[in-house]
Order: sequence, then C-alpha cells, then structure tokens
Amino acid sequence: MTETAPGTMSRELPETDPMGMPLDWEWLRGARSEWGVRPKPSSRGLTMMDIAVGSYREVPEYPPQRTMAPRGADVDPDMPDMGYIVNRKSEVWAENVAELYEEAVSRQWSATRDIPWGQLTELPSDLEHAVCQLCTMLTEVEMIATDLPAKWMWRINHDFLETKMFLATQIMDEARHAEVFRKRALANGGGLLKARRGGELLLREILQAKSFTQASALLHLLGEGLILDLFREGELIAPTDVEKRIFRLVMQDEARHVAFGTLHLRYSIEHDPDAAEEIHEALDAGEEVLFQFGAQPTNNTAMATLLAGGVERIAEDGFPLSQRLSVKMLTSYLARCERAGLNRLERTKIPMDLLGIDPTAVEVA
Amino acid sequence: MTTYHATVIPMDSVEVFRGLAAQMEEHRGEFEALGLCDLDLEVKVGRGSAGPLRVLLRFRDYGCEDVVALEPEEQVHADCRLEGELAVWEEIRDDIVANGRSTGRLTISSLVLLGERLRLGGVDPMGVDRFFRYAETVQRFFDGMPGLIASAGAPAPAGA
Ligand SMILES: [Fe+2]
Ligand SMILES: [Fe+2]
Repeated sequence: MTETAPGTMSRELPETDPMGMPLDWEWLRGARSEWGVRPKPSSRGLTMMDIAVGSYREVPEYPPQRTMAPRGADVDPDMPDMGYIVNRKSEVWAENVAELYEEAVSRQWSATRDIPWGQLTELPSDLEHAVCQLCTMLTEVEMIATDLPAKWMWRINHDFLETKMFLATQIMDEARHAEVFRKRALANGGGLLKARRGGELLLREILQAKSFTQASALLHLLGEGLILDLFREGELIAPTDVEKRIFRLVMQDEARHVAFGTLHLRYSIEHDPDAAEEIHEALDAGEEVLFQFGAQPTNNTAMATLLAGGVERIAEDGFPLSQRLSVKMLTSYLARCERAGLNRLERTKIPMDLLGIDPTAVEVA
Repeated sequence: MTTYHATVIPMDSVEVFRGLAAQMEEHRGEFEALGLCDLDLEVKVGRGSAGPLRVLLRFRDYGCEDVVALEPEEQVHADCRLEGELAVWEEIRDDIVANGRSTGRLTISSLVLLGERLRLGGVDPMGVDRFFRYAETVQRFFDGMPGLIASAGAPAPAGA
C-alpha cells in the first residue's frame, strides 16, 4: 500500500475542476501498490535487476488479468481484455532474462559506424562470390529471428514484461544483422547471389511453430545455435578485417539469443511436465528440415571455398575442414540441449554415426 | 605498470595479464562503447614440465577488475577456460605487436574454433557461450598488447 502524501488527507482538495468535471486524487491518497522501495543503483547504473525489489520482483505464474497495465501497479478490476494467449510464466520465462536485456542494451552496435567499411580491399573473384553467397543466405535467414519474436510478442501477457523487452532487443539485433550482411554483399563490387528453396522450407518450419516454447526451441536453440557456430566459422574465414569485425559482433548478439533460449527451455521443462515432449516434437521436425537445408550444396560450396582460401584447394582443405566444423557445430547444439534439460541423444534425427559425432563429447562439451 | 621490449613480453607471466587489465582501464572509453562484460575467464599457458601458468581474469562492467594467479591444481569457478601452450600465446603476441591487433587465423575466436593449439573449454555450455557473448571485448583485451611495450629508448625492465 502506498503512503498517502503528507498533508493531503487533512487538506481540502478540490473535488471538481474549474469546468465542473470530477477529479481523481486516489493516486495521491494511497494506491494499493508498494511505495518507497528505493532500489540502489549498481556500478553500472540502475539496472532491471536492481529494481527487482519487494513486490516488484514478483512475476506471477498465471497473471490475474490480460492487460497492458504495468505489473505491480494498482490496476482497476474492470480493465479491457487484451486477448493474450500466452498467460503462463513457464511458457515464456528464463531466469537470466533481465540480465540478458541489460546486456543487449549495453552491447548494441551500429552496422553503419562500427564496421571499418573503408578497409575493404578487392578480393579474388571466387572469394568475393563466396562472401556474397554467404551474405545472401545470412540476410535471408536473419529476418526469421525478427519475424518470429514479433509474431509472438503481442500474444504474450504483459506481466512477462522482461521477456517482451528482451525479445524487442532481439528484433533490433536481427534487423542489424540483416543490414550488415546486405551491406557487405553490396559493398565490395559484388551483390546478392542465390536464394534457394531449402532455406525457405526451414524458415517456414520455424515460423509455423504452434507455441512460443516450440518456436523458441526451433529458433533460439536449433537455428540460432547453429548460426552462432556459423558466425564463428565466418570469423575464421573472414578475408579482411571488415568481415572479422562483422562476424565477431554478430556472434556476440547471437550467443545472447541462444542463452535466452537455452534457459527459457530449461525453465519450461522444470515447471511444466508436458514441455519436454512438446520441445522434442518441434526439434524432431526441425532437425529433419535443417539437415536437408544443411545438405544443400549452394552454401556449403561457398563456405568450403572460403575455408580453403579459394576454389583451387577446396577438395584438399575446404571440404575436410568444413566437415570437421559441422561436427563441432552439431556437438555444441546437442550439448546445449542437454544444458536445457533435454536429452536429444536418444531421439535426434541428426545421423550421428554417419557424421562421426561422439556422444561422449556432447556430455562434456 | 611493467613495460617490455616487443620481443620479450613474457606470455607466461601474470604481470602481463595485469598489464593488459591496466591497458583496458586506460582505454575505458573504447570498452564502454563495446558494452558491459561479465565474464570469469581462466587463461592457461602451458610450459611443459615447468607446469602451466593459470590466471583468472574477472571481467566486470567495462574492465578487468581482478587478475588472480592460480595454483596448478587450484579449484576455481570460471565460466570458461582458454588453454594453449606458450608457443601459441607467443604467436598471438607477435601477431598483435606486428599488426596492432590479431589478424587472420590468429584471432582468439579463430584459434579456438580450430581447437588444435588453443582450446576453449568449461564444464557448462552456457559458460562457454559467455565467451562468444563478449568475444569482441576479450579480443580487444589481448589487442592491448602493444601498450605494454616500452616506448623507444626506454630501458628494458630488470630481468627482461
Ligand atoms: Fe542474427
Ligand atoms: Fe539471433
């Protein structure tokens, strides 16, 4: 309960305005919300974690209403219904979501200002083509990670504000990723190259997820987990400092998205006995489509060309290294599944034997 | 702060890492622009039979607030660990000193992706992923190496 502002009870306050319209002084005379919590700023300033104090830190399992009213406010009982369909905390929450939001805000960067575009140098034609093919594919897939959170955000109960705030940062991050890859494709004498059907099939599978948790499994854990590793490869094969910087910066954002997804799925599994099976089902379908996408030759040849430093040594250097890195990529994905509380080893559609993935490496990765 | 001649920055000395932390503080503005960093990173430099140098780097906010020398078998919480023989750390150093920053396949991210000479590990995949969340900050920390070099004409430190 808020305190009544000193002197306002005894003092006569006007009941109507000069036009005769009734006035409301309830906000001054004691609302039912908590008053005087005085959070202390940390060394970084006043963070979302700092203001999670008293009743303001409580996030209900099932919010009593479906309104946009701020959690913790003194809310009218007859608020209009906003029609949210995601109203259970375990459907959207992650223990680290406030930290990740703060980190996202702090680590924003600009694709215009923070990339040393002036340092681009002319590349051999095969390398420039390979960079442009990779950037075409990346520009295409980045926007799924804006569209998908956007599709779910307006359906999520507003009491889960921190999750919505984090997803808003992801949407901004992904816009910047699409921006930076589109800019790189055009910036050095090349252009956009081939967009293939396989990529679209994967994106459609992710976009059509039936629940936020399934969407998060497909996007944050499966899709972005693999894209994070692809960005790591991008940093390795970057022909100039420009691409190095691009890939390191997008890598940071992507790792944050993966961190949210991993802990959201963990929270979900820990709080909802049906969640694990729901996630498994999404990943069963997602892994199959992903495997088809991964097997398509367009992007693989571009990546192998960059790994080999050109088409001449693609058979000797490019494909073997590409294969080795793919094994690492899938091992990391399966290890993150374990961390999320999801044992995929028994169930995965990834042909582990064929690819030579060591299950013991998953457990300790 | 201890300074060195370019060729004798001893990568198996905890003082070098303290120097890099001081460099980070000196260039705080650049690190503030990169954003906050919350990472406990163990660095392990192999020295054959002499046993490894183990250092814990505690990155907080925009700086490295603590550089702790660890005993060979000391158990400590770290989000993740970078581990390689002295030779690879010296190669990283030489590349940074020569070019003003890590280049090509000698960036920390590239080396750990290949995983042959420099390995990134940890008990928790979420902890390992923290390295990637702060990859640019960690790289710039090591890129501070040229700041440790004594300006021309300055004497080398005793024993260097
Ligand atoms: Fe992205
Ligand atoms: Fe992402």
